Amino acid sequence: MIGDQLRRHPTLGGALDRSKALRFSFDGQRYSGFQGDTLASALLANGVTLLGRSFKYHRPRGVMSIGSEESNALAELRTGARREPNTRMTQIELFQGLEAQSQNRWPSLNLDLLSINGLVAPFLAAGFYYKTFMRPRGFWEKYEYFIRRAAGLGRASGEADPDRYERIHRHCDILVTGAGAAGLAAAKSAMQAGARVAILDEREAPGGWLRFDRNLIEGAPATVWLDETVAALRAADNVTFLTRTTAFGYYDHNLITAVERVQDHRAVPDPHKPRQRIWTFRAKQVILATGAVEQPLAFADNDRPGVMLAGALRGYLNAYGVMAGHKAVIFSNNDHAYRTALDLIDAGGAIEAVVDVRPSPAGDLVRAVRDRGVRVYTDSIVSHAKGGHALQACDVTPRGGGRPETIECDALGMSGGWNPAVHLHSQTGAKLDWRDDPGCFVPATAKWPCVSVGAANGDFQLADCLANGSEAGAQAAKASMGGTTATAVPGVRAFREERPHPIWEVPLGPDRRGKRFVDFQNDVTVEDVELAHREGFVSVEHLKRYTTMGMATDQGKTSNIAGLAIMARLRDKPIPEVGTTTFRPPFTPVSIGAIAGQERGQHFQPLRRTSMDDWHAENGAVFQNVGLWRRPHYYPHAQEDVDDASRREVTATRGAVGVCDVTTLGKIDVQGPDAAEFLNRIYANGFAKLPVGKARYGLMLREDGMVFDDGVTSRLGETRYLMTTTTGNAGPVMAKLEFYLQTVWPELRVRITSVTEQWAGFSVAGPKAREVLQDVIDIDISDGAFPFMAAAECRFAGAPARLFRISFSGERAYEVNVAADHGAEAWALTVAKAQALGGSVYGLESLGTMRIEKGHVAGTEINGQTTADDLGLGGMLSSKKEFIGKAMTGRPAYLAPDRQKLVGLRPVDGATWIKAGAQLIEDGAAAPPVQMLGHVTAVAFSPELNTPIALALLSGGMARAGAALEAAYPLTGESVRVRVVSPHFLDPEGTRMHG
Amino acid sequence: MFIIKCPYCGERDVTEFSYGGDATRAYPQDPAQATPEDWHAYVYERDNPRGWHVEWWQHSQGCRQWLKLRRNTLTHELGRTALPHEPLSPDDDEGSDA
Amino acid sequence: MAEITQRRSPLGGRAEARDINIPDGGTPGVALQHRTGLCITQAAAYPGCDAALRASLAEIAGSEPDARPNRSVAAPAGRLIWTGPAQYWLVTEDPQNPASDLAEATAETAAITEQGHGRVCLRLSGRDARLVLAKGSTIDFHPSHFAAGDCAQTGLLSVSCLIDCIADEDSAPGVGPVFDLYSARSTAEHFLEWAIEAAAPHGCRILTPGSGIAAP
Repeated sequence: MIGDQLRRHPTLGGALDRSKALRFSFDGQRYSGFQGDTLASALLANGVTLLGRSFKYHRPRGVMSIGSEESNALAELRTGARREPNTRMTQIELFQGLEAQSQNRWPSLNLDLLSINGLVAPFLAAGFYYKTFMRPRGFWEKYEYFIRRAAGLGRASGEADPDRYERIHRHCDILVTGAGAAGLAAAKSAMQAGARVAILDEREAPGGWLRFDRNLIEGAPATVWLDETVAALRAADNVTFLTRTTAFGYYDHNLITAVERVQDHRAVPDPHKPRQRIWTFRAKQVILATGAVEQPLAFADNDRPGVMLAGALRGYLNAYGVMAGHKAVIFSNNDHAYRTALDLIDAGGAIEAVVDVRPSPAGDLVRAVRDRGVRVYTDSIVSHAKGGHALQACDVTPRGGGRPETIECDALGMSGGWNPAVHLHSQTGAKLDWRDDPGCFVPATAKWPCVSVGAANGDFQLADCLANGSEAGAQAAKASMGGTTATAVPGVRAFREERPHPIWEVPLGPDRRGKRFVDFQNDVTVEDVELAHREGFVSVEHLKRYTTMGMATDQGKTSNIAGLAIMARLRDKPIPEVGTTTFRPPFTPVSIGAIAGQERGQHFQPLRRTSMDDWHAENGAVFQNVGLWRRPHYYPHAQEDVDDASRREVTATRGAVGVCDVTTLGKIDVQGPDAAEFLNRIYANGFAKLPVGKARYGLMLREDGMVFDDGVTSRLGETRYLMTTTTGNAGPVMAKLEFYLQTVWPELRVRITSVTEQWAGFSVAGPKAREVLQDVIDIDISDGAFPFMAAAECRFAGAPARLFRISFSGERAYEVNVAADHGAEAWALTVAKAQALGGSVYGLESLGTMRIEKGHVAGTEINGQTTADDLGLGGMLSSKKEFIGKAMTGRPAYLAPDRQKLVGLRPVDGATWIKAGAQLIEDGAAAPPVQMLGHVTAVAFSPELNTPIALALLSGGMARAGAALEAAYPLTGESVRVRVVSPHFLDPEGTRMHG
Repeated sequence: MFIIKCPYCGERDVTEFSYGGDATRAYPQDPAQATPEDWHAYVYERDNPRGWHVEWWQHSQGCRQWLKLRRNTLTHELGRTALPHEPLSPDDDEGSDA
Repeated sequence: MAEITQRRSPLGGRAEARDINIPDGGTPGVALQHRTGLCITQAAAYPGCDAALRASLAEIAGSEPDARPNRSVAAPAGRLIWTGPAQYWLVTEDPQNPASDLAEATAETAAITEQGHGRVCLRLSGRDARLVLAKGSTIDFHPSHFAAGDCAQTGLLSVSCLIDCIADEDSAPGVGPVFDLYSARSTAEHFLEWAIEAAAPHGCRILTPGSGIAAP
C-alpha cells in the first residue's frame, strides 16, 4: 500500500468502508484511500493540502469546502477521451485506479512559474481586460493567446465522448430536492400519506449534515434515525430515491431537471448503461430542502491551503475521519462554528484558539467550548493568515485595533455564517427576502407550487428542520392528493444560539498586507469590489460583470453575498436595497453529453428514409439531406463528379427514360362529400369541377396573398382526392388544412389524413416512359386511355398502386405510387426495365436541372416573398370564387411594376456558370453602393442547350427581356455577364409531355 | 416548459404542441363581403400583450386537434384551453375548467 | 410478369432475435418484438357521424370502439384504437384487410384510409418497459395513469408515436406491461435504434419478428 493516510483518525469516519482500500493517483503521485472517500477527503487524509492554483494569480490553493460549492479544489479527472476538466474534488467519489491532475499550473503544482502573476497583481485588478489590452490597437489577438494560456481552468479532452447518456422523464406528486434532515422528514411524511414521492440528493449517501455534524435524535446518534428513514423510503413502492443526483434547473410548471451520475464512480463505465442520466421531473408540489452554504470570511490571505470552512473541517473529521490539522484555529461570527472546536477536541485534536468577532458570545456551544479550556478571543479578528503552500500561523487582532498576536496553526476553520441555497427557488424568477437574523437571504413567495424547508429556508436548527420538513411533506401531500396524515416528529435537543454578527470584510492587520478573497475561484478580492464601486459599477449586475465575481463554475455560492454586502456598505445602503443577481441553471456544471442524451451522432435528429433507400445506398447514390429526408443527389459512375453524372442522367432521361424517387413529396388524402368544396376554397385555382380520374396542378396562397405551396391534386373517386405538396411543406400544409377544417369551416364534411408514409413514389419520365410501365400496370395507359393529367388507382405488378400522368421534367412522364412495403421491389423492377431501354435513374441534381430547363418554380422561388404573378402564375388565380389569400392579391404593392419576378438567365459567353445567390446589378464596374435588381435563385447546366442556365427573381421581370446584366457574387469576387431570357428554356409549348 | 391541457388528451408537455398564432382574430365569416379593413385587421393587426393572451396551439404530436389556449405572456401561467368553437378571451375569468 | 406480393418492412432484417446485455441466467428487463404484416385501417367520421361510424366498426370488427379519447379495445378482428376526435384505427392481420368492407359500410359517414404500410410496430414488454417509454416521452406512464386499454399519441425522443397499452401488471401478471408502439415507416430505423439503446441498460431480448396483434 502506498501512502500512509497519516491524517486519518483511527475510528471516526462514518462514510468509510475501511475494509476496502483503494489506490489512486494525483499528479502522478500514488496514494491510498478507502471506499466512501471523496478525492478531497482522501488527499487530506494523506496530508496533501496543495491541490490547485488559482484562476488569475496562480496562488496555491487547498480544499475549502466539503460540498458542491467548492471553488478551489478542481481537478482534471481520468485521461484520454474521458478526461474531464474542472471536477470538484469534494464531489469525486474515490474509485480503484482513479487518476486526477491538478489544473492551471505550469510546469507543476509546486513550482508554478505563472504565479508571478501574483507579483504583478495591481496590473490584473478588476476590469484589467478592458483597460490593459486595448492598446495598441490590433494587439488584442496577440495578448489573448497568452492570457488564455495563463488564466483559466482545465482542458477538455478534445476527443469524442465514448460514453452513453440518456434522459428520462418522471411524474410525481411531490419532489424533494435534498435528502438532509429536512428533506428526509418531508419525504417521509409525504410517503406515509401515500403520495408519489421522488427525493434526490447530490451526494453518494443521503443525510446531508446529519453525517457531517454530531447530533442526537431521540437520544441516539442522528445516523440511526437517518439509516432508518432512508431504509423506509427506499423500501416504499411510492418513493423514487435517487442519490448522486443533483437538481440543477427549475423551470415553468414545476419542471425540475436533475443529473444522476450513474457511473461516474466507476473507472470505466459499463458500456450498456449510461454514464449519466438527466431526469426531468414534473411534480405537483416541490419541496426544496437544498440546505445552506457556509460563507467564508474575507481576511488577508484567506486562501492559504489549510484555511477552510469551519463546517468542512468538522465534516471531514466526522464523515471521513480526516484530521485536517493538529493545531487548529476557528474564526467565526456565529455559534455554529463552535461545533468544529468541540468535535476536533473530542477527537483528540488541539484547538489553539477560537476567534469570535462578537464582543461577548455566551451561547450553549460557546460555553461548552470554554468549558474544555479553549481560549476564546472575543471582539477579535484573524487579520492575516500566514504561510506559502501551507498555512503556518495566523495573526489575531482585537477589532478595536492593537498589536496582532501570532498563533501557530496548521488548520483554520472560518465561518461567516450560513446562506440558504436558494438557487433553484431563484431560478424560477421568485424573489428573495433579506432576514437580518441571522443575516441571509431566504426564499420569498414561490412562483409555482413549491416550498423551501430547513436550512434552505433559513431554519438552521435540526429540530426546526425535522419539524418543518415533516409539516411541509404532509401539506404537500394534502395539496397534491387531498387528505393528510399527522406525522410524529422526532425529539431533538435545541441549542440556544446567539445571533451572528455580520462581517463581510475583515480589516487588514497593521501590516496592511495580503489579499482578501471574496470570490476564490475567479480571484476577486475586497479591493476589486471597491475598485468597481470607485469606477461606477455599483449595481450588482455591473459589479458581477466588471469583476467577474460569481461568474466561475461555482456560480458564486460562497461569494455573492459578501460581494454585494461590501457594495452595500460602500453605497451606504441596506443589503436588500442593493439586491442580488439572478441565479440561472445549472446549479452545478452539467456535461454536454448528459444534456444531449441519446440525441447525438446519427441520432441527433431522426433520418427519414424512403422505401428505396437500401437500393440507393447499394447502387452508389451520393445522398443529400432535404429537411430530415435523405435523398439521392446523383448516382456517379466511376470517376464522375456531380456535373458529369447529372449531365448523363438528364441526357438519358430526355433521350430515353429516367426514374427518380419522389417518395418524399407530401401526400394528403382528402375525403368527404364536401371535399371538392374544401379544395376549391384552399387552392387559388378552380377545383370544383375536376373530374374523377383527373389530376390538376394547384396553387395555394397564404392569407397574405403570397404563394404558400404548390402541387398536383388528383380526384381518385367521387369523394376522394389525393393532394401532393412539396417535400419541405408537407407538414405545414397538413397543419394549415387541419386548421381551416377545425376552426374556420367545421361544418364541411371532409376528413384529411397524411399518407406520405403509406405510399412510395417514383416518377418515370422520358420518351420511353410508357414502354417501361405498360407491362406492369394493370390498366390501359395508352395515350387515348390515359392522357396527360390522367390519374387512376391501379395495380403495379399486383401491388396496390396509383398512377398519375404528370410531369415536372417536361417529358412524357408518369408518377407511380405503390404501397410502401412494395416500394423497393416496384422501384427495382422499373429501374431494370428503364435501364434495358437505355434509361437511367436520376437524383436531385438532375431533377433540379430539368425543372430549371422548364422554368418550374420550387422552394427557392416560392420563398414567402413572391406572389403568383411574380412567379408567372398570376393567370391561375380564379376570379369566380373565394379562396385563401384572395383578398390580398389586389394590394397595390403586389401589383407594382418593379416587383421582382421570375426570369431566365443565360451567360452572355455561353459558358460561364452563374452563381446561385448572385446579385443582379446593371453595371459590374460601378462602385458600390449599387442598386440590386434581384438575385439568382437556381442554376444548372442544360445538356440539351449546352450552356449554363439560371432562374432569377428580377425587378420588372420579363419587361427586361433581352437586357444584359451582371450576376455578381461579391463573397468570392465572381461576376458573370448574363442576358435576361424566358424562364421556359426548353419546349415551352409542352409538346413532349403531352406526348 | 409548459403543460398544456389538450381538450381530448389532457395535460401534455408543450413539446407535443406547435404554436399557431393569435386566436383573438377570426377569419371573416363571409369572405366575399369582408372589407379591405376587415382583411387588414385579420391578416396583419396583432397585439403584443404583456399579460393574458389567447393563442392557437395544435396538439401536433398527439390528436392533431387545434385548440385555444389562454396564456400569460409575462408569467407563463396558463389558463383554460378551449375547442375552436368555444369562446375564450384574454380576460376570461377562468370558468370551471381552470 | 412477376407479381409483387411480399411486404418488405423497413425493419426487415434489422430487428432479428438477439439478446442485449442479459447476463447468463438473468432475465431481460424488457423484450422488443417487431410486429409484421399488420393492416391499419383508419376511420374518421364526418361531422355528426361518430356514433354511426362506431356502429359500423362494431359490425366489421366485432366490438365497438371506446368513444373516450385515448382508449383502445381488443375486438375479435383486432384492436380498435382512438387516434383523434371521431377517429379510430382498426389494426388487423394481413391478409384479411377490412378496408374495403369498412369503406363500403361507411361511405356516407366516414373517410377510410389505409396506414399499414406507413407505420412500423414494435411491441415492448417486461418489467422495465415503463422506464424505457419514460426515456422517450414526457407522458406519465405510472400504472395508475397508463394501464391496459389506455393509448396515447406522443413524441418518443424525436419521432411521433402511438402507444397502445395492451396488457398491464394486473392483466398479465408475470409478463409485465405490454405496449404496442406504432411509428412512421420513414424513421423506423432511427426508432428501432433508439428503442434498443434505451432498453439495453435493463437487459433487452429482441424476439423473432412476428405477426398478429393479440395480447401475449
